[in-house]
Amino acid sequence: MTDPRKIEVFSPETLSAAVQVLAEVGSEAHILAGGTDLMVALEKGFWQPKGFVLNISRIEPELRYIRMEDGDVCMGALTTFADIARSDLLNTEAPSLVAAAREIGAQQIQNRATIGGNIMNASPAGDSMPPLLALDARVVLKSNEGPRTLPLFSFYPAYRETVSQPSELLTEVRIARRDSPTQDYFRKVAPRRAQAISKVILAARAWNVEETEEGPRIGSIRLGVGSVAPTPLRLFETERLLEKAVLTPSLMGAAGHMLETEISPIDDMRSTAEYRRQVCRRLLDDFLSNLLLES
Amino acid sequence: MKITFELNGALTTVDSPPLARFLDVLRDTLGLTATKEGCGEGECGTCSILVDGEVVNACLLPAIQVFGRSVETLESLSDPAGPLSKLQESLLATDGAQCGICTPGMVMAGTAFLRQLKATGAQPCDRSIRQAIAGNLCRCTGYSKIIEGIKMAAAQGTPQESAHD
Amino acid sequence: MNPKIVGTRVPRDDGRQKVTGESLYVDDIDIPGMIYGTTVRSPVASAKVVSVDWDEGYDWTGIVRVTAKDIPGENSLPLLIDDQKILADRRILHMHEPIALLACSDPTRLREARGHVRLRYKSQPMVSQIEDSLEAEVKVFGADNVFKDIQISKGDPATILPKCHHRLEESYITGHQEHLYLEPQGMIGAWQDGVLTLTGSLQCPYYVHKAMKAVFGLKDDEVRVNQAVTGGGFGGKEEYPSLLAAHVALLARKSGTPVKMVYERAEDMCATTKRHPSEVTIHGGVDEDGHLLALDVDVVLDGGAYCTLSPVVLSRAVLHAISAYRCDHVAVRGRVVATNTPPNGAFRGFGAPQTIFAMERMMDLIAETVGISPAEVRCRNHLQNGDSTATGQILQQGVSAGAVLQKALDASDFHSKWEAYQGSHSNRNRRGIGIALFMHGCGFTGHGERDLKSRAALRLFLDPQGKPRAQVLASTTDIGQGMRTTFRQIAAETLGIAFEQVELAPANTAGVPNSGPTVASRTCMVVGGLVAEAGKGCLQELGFSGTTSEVELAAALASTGAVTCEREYEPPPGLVWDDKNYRGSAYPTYGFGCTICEVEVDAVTFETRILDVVTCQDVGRAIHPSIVEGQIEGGTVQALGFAGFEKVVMHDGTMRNHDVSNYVIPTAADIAPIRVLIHEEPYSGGPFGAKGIGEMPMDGGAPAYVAAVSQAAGVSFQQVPILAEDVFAELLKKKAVKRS
Ligand SMILES: Cc1cc2nc3c(=O)[nH]c(=O)nc-3n(C[C@H](O)[C@H](O)[C@H](O)COP(=O)(O)OP(=O)(O)OC[C@H]3O[C@@H](n4cnc5c(N)ncnc54)[C@H](O)[C@@H]3O)c2cc1C
Ligand code: FES
Ligand code: FES
Repeated sequence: MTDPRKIEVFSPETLSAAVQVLAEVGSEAHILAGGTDLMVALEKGFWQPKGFVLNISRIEPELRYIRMEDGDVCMGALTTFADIARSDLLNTEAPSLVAAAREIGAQQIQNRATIGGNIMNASPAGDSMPPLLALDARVVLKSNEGPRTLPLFSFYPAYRETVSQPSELLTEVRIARRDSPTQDYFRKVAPRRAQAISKVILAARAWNVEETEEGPRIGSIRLGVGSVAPTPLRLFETERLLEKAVLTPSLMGAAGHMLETEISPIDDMRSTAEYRRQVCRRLLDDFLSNLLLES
Repeated sequence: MKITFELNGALTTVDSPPLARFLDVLRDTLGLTATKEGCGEGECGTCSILVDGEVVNACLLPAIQVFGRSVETLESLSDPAGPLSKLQESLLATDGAQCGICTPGMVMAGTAFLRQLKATGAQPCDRSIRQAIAGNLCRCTGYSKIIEGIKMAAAQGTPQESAHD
Repeated sequence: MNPKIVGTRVPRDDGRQKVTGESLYVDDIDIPGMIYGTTVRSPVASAKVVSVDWDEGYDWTGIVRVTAKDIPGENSLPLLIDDQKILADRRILHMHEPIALLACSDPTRLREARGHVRLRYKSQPMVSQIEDSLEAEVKVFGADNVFKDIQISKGDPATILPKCHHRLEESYITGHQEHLYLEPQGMIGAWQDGVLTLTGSLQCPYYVHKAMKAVFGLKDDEVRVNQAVTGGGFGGKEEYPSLLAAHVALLARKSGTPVKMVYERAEDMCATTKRHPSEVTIHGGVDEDGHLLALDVDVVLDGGAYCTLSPVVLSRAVLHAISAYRCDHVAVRGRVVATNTPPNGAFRGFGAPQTIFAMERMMDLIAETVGISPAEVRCRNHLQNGDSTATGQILQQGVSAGAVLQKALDASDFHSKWEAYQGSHSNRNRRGIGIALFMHGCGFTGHGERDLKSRAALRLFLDPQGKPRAQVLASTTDIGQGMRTTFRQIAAETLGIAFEQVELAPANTAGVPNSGPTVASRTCMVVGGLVAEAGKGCLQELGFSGTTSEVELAAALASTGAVTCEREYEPPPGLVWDDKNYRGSAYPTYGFGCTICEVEVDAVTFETRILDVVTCQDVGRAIHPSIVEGQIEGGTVQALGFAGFEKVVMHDGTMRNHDVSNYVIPTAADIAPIRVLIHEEPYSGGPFGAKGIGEMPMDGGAPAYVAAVSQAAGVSFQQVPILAEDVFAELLKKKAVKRS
């Protein structure tokens, strides 16, 4: 056994060089961004890299930004959660993502952890994915053959897997600029207020909530959840029930019921399936009842 | 491999495996033992250092990523027998260090926070201080005296100073 | 005379080194030629060892290997009884039990080599918890799995209880707690010319000294134990370091080089001692007004696989079972039993937090049953001067239970908040406030101090500038509690010289007398007392009856030369203890405290947020107010962790959540400011009136927190920890939340 810490590391200075390397020997490459997941895995022996490591941290000039482009808010893959937490643009456009960023780890982690790493690490407990799902985010993967953009909801086929290919690098996350009024929600339930792994996460966005005779009516809605299924999950069926519908107590009950059929929480050393299921449902209730109050 | 960076103001080159923990480079290769290891998994903050002015955990930092960066460790804040930094003085005054194993990390996280306050001219409150050191566990003090120390140090930095800094 | 140094906030003795990072902890120390050691541990909880083999395909050059066969004498670690093996040889009794040791100059190879040791074993049935242990179908220890059984009785509870107006019964459970000192266990061992030198992170140099003498058949001066700066102990570095010392000494002996072993965090969490889990059942009888008439308490502690200090922990547990209350008819039975889990050991509070938790929850139950407030039931029942404890000790003076209770009630605005939160469960987020009153016996139990014959000394001399200086000689260690500072204050005040003119000799067994272990809140009160007495002795030897001017002192020293005075502990007059029947003076004195905690329970997620904590504690005399506050704040937060955050998930005899991510201690963001009120009811037997203060802060946090959560949630909890999942499950059971 060779010492994994002595493994060969390639640190390209440009995005095109990185993509070129992946094109040639992508299946042997381990991509290293902020290292907050990988270094823990290395220390604990969960990650035993073979081949070589592709350190992308020096492509910062090309991959660390938060900017508007073609009506989208775009974040480079090396954008840190500290960047997100202090971004005025995101505070306006994606308050739930900003809220999530501020609750990730603590300052030391936020300064290093990247959004690309969070997405690619594919943990069901990753905090940025539920808000990104609720914000209809798309991710951009780049290979030698060019970029492809796909919605985040189609990104996680199974537990800790993504549809990204070894020849691809995640380069960007895009969120459509909000063009009509929204109400946003983020709540992370965790054993403590910092440095904590989520037990349940719900992020939500509702567009165009209007007051009607019978109650508020939701224009459209997106719901993203974490730690309650093998992957980060968008709740399509629950959204469908709520979309364009008037929020009545019975609809809220039905939505909660639907949520329970969509998620599949488990018992583990951090929490119980029952708690996760009920609390996830209650978070949805909390979001919806606040819509009732606010509209 | 050879990695060159700025360490406490001086250009430094070390020969280290690329994925070695920078914590080990500091402690074992360079003999700078003020930075501690409490957990090795990014949770406790005893290994906090500043990289380009931002507080990070040295146990999660691959050596190769300090290349070309500026690193500050606790050793940079004072010389043996020389004057202490404001925060160090304040922590001494409020008795913020009991067993002391968390103290180096606390001082570094606190220093980053105080510089940020100075840069923005913001006033610290109990909540923002608690947030700033939430990545630094302390098992001895219950945090109160550390928070008092940071408050005391913040009160000494005058807003005028921050405007020109 | 008004003290000038005692009672002031002088700068901490080791403060500068700590804020600059100059303090050297074990892992910071490098000795020429030193190599690194590691421990190969058992992967099963209960088994017969068939063999320990070395993978033949592996290249072992440069790796030193040690098994039980390398132990020169008896394979047992001397403590109370010698049941614990240094390395398992025939039987394995718990997960992660040490079975072999390795050392190598390259830490990476060392880690790798660990995977090439083959243990062959036959699994045996295991006992994982108290119930199974009591059944004793599977035997872990002796014929009945009971390490120790203690009974206390006073009056006639069997007759009185059935006649009481209200009779109550409830059982209470507390879980393991991990010390999580932020510096893991570590030790360096080296042999030179037949002398073994150990330098480690430890609380009790003389424990290690004694154990090593026995293990290696050495004489007093053939073992030297130095304390490195120690990054937290909380009891976890009381008895455990002796095992680590034996391990590094064995490796150093075989390799012929110094060996350093520092545990990895996960290893430390899995393998080392924890707080004893407890099950306490209380039968209580009260009159119509809630006055305690009779109590019958059954205490069972889970000792884990080996005895360690469990009998002594049990002793303190039963002696604190009635806590700060007056009751004439009392029966307490305590047992500590064996299970196939890693041995439990000393942890701040030493058994008292467990029984006090139970008794405090019982007091709340009484209040509820009788229809009075939790504050009122405590006002009616707390101990007063002249009352007797469960062991029949008459507390003639210094009982401050009423005073601390009142101060805490006032400062927290308990009455109006409790009223306001009572029954108003309609709000979104519900609030609750809880109270705990407690006492803590200072120093060792019973004859402990007398038998120990602790000694400490002071040397008074002239420095080259002709100024008088003093050196304190004691084996007591500073583990963050500030003893280096308080001892200097006590010495300086007694001698009438400046704080700066007193220094401490290093805590090294070769150079200082045995002042006993750094445990049981005895440091300041008992050893500090010896320092004060030694100081008076020095002055007497120089012909002074009390403090004098520096000029006179210098003159006397110039003519007499340096003086050294050593003092041995003498029990205060009238302290009689009958260890057979558990009657008499269990402790020379008691500290009293009251903690009040206010919380909010989130109506959506069942998470608890701490809003306010007030604690008033009687410390006798605060030698150094901020050190005292620091002890109280830190201990209270540890207690809140015990109550609301820290759950050891023990599964098949192993701690599953053995990392700092999953064993959750509070961060700064989780804790409200702790409001500390110091009460001073001086104790004549302590230096300047000081009582013990190290452990008492651990006693009140858990019951106060649980009472507050119970009020907020509208259901009563009888266990710790309580996590959001527990609040949820309990409300579900009570149908207070809807299940869909
Ligand atoms: C103490 C601590 C606390 C934490 N708290 C939280 C928390 O509260 N919430 C949370 O969600 N997470 C948390 N994390 C996890 C971690 O910080 C995040 O997942 C982080 O976003 C990972 O980013 P990184 O840049 O550090 O990733 P790395 O560790 O560098 O990489 C993670 C994975 O992503 C891959 N990868 C990274 N970038 C790319 C890319 N551009 N293209 C393709 N693949 C890529 C890597 O190959 C690797 O598999 C915590 C971690 C620690 C140590
Ligand atoms: S050692 Fe780096 S965070 Fe604990
Ligand atoms: S002072 Fe000991 S851990 Fe903070």
